[in-house]
Amino acid sequence: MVRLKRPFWLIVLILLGFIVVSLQLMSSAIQETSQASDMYSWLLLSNTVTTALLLMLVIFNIISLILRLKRREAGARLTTRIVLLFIILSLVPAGVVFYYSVQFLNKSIDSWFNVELEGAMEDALELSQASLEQRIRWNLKDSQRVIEPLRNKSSAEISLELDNLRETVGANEVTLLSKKGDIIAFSGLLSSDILPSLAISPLFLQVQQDEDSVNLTAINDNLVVQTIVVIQSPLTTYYVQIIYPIPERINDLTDAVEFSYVRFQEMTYLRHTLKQSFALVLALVLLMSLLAAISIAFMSVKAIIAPIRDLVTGTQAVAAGKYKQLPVVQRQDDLGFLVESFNNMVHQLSLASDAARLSSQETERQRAYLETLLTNLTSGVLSFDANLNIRTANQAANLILHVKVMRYYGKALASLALEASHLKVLVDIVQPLLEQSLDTWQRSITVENTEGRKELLCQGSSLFSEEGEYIGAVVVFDDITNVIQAQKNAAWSEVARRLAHEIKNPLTPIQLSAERLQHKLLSHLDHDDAALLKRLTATIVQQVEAMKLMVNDFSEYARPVSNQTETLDLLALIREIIVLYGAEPQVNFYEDVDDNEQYIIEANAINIRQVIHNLFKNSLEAMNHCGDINIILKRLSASQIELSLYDNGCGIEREVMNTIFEPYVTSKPKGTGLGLAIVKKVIEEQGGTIRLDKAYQQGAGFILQFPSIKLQHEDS
Amino acid sequence: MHGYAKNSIGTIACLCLLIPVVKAQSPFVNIEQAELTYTKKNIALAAKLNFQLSVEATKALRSGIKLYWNIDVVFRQDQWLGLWTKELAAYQYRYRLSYHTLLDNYRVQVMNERTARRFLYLADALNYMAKINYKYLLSDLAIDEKHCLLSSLQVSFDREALPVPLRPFAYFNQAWDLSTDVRQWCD
Repeated sequence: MVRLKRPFWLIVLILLGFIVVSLQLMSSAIQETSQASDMYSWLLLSNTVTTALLLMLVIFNIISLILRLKRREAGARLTTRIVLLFIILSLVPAGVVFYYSVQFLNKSIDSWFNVELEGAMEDALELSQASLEQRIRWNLKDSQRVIEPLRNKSSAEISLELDNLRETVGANEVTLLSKKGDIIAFSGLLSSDILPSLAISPLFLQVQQDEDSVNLTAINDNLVVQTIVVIQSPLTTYYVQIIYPIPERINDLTDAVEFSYVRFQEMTYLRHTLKQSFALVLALVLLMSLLAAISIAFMSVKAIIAPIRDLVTGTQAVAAGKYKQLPVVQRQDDLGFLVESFNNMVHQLSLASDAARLSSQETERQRAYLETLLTNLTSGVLSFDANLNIRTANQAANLILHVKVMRYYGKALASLALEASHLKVLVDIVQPLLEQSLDTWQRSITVENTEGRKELLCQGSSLFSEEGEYIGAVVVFDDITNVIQAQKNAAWSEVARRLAHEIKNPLTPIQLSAERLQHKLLSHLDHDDAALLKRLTATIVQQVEAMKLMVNDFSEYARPVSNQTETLDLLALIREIIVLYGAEPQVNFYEDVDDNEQYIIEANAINIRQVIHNLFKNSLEAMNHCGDINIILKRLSASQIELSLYDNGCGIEREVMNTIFEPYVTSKPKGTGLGLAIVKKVIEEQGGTIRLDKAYQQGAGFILQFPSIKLQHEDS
Repeated sequence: MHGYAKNSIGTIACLCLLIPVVKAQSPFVNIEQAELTYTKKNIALAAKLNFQLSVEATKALRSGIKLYWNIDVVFRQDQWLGLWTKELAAYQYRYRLSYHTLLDNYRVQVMNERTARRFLYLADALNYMAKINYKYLLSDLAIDEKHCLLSSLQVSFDREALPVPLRPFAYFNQAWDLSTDVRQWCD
């Protein structure tokens, strides 16, 4: 049994009670004798209005249901089926009852008016009328009989006889009238009667034709016989009106017969309207019952369907990942059990989902952490799947390998070498190692690209699942070029510092001793020996000076670079330096710069000036002080400026290209090999880089990059 | 069943249309003439009605159904420059017309006066009802002579006095439209 809310049943009971009371009142009202008959029209109207309201309610519900069906709302189809079942179950029996009730009523009403009954009523009336006719004739004869002796008498004599005459015939009153209808004399049954009860009636006009007349009439609803007898005398004409009473018994009987006849006539007249009224009441009962049943069906189904609709909505919510529990249903039936089971299931799902979500979040957090770790690692990391196809790579791998490795995900390592030829060496070494599935391995690999040579330290490891299945490999590689370079630099600096320290100290005594030796001995020697001494001491001094220069270079190389920086306009500095080379008429400086651009760097001006001087000096020597120097200055980004210097001198030999920036590497016969090493050291300690443009074949080309100060827009 | 169902539904539909019905003038009963006559102490209301019965109503009368009319007479006067109207007096006269089968005559009874008159012919009975002559004491009305006297007369057929089965149909059958409109005039 479905337990519905109390207000719902209250509404239903009130509605049914109102309908039953209203219909009962109407049923009573249709009987003439009922007190409710005065309210019949209002009851009919109120019931009709109620029916119309119920009809509107049903129509509203039907439209609502159709819309819900179109929207494919949960429970709409079930509601339709149940309501249709309700309608069929209530319509069929109610329709049958209505049909047979109407038939029964019609036949019953028709049976009241059968021919025999109608004939009997008419016979009774005719009998009453015949009886009264006979009494009327008797009264007329009585009147004529008693008036006959008075025909030759005067009006005064007749007047005196009126009382006797009334008593003789047993009349209520006797009136003597003149020819014009004026009352001459009157005799009444009661002494208080002074005037006749009946005024001059139309019958009197007939009397005017000198004929006796008789009429059945009523005085105060009592039947009386009115006779008027004409008395013709030689002089004038009189009229005597005699009123006879109808005996009480006959009066009652005729009244009863007339009442029954009139009632029968009335009912006969109302026969069809009576049928229609009953049919109307029955139709209203049928309609109200049907509509009430349908309305209640809608309300009941709504209450029944609510948990099912909630279940469907809940299921859809669960399907969408929202584990919302349904309101608790306080009912002990199947639906209550279903809702409770659903809530338990949703609770369990919710717990499982929370656990899965937490696990997923943890995994995601770990993955993000690992990704952050890999991204921020300065070491390049490449991972491979079981087929040795590249699976992941971090940002450092892209930077070190100069390739966007992401584009090669899912491809073999060898595919890297197809596009980036400088990685062929790396692929040739790593690929066999990966294929061997060694637990761990380590190799130092040198790769060369247009920017120079790179020393990579590669370490590889095979990956295995918990079950021991081979699932891929990971290769970690570090760019140790700078580390090696730094080690070399440190070593050379130490050598230079020691050389400078050990050599510089004895040089001055050697030079002074040679000069003193020349001064002391020159005057004691002959011309030839003196010339020899001069030549030898000059050689010693000259070599000592050369060694001093070399020692100064060593000191310069070993000396720490000043870290005092300032804002510097690089273009202005270059132009300032070029002015110093104005004494070289056969050397042409060409600028390729954007005048609208500012080339501001943060560096030590003395050091940068020294660097550019060194490079210009090298170029002049390479061009033998005759040639062109191209200066290209451009902004690479908001934070980087690139300076390129190209000459058309003899260039740099291919053999020393890779080591040109290392100390004691030179292609000049008298060079110390420290010039470019110092340049590189200065540039790098100012935060910049320098490299040889190997692609340039017409001479030597150097590309310098400086960190730039972030420019502020003029607008701001 | 179809016939009865159709009748019933039709009747219900008609009843639903009861409210917005626009009343037309009755073809059977109307006021031809109405006037007030002043004497020293009285006011006399004289009216002539055109009083006829429809075939349906005549048939019902001959079948013993009693017919009732109410004649309403109301006297009003405008007050406060016509801003509102004050009712001085209202009178209602109830007439009953019936047919006496045994005597074969028609009886007109004024219910207020408990007097009755019998007529051999229906036309005579209707003629009797068609002539209205009422007298009122001026002192009862308390008329303000500065304003005109607004009189209204209406004859209403009492459908609610008909037998119960006949009532709902009488509302929608023109044969039973035996009432007049309100006749108003100012003296």
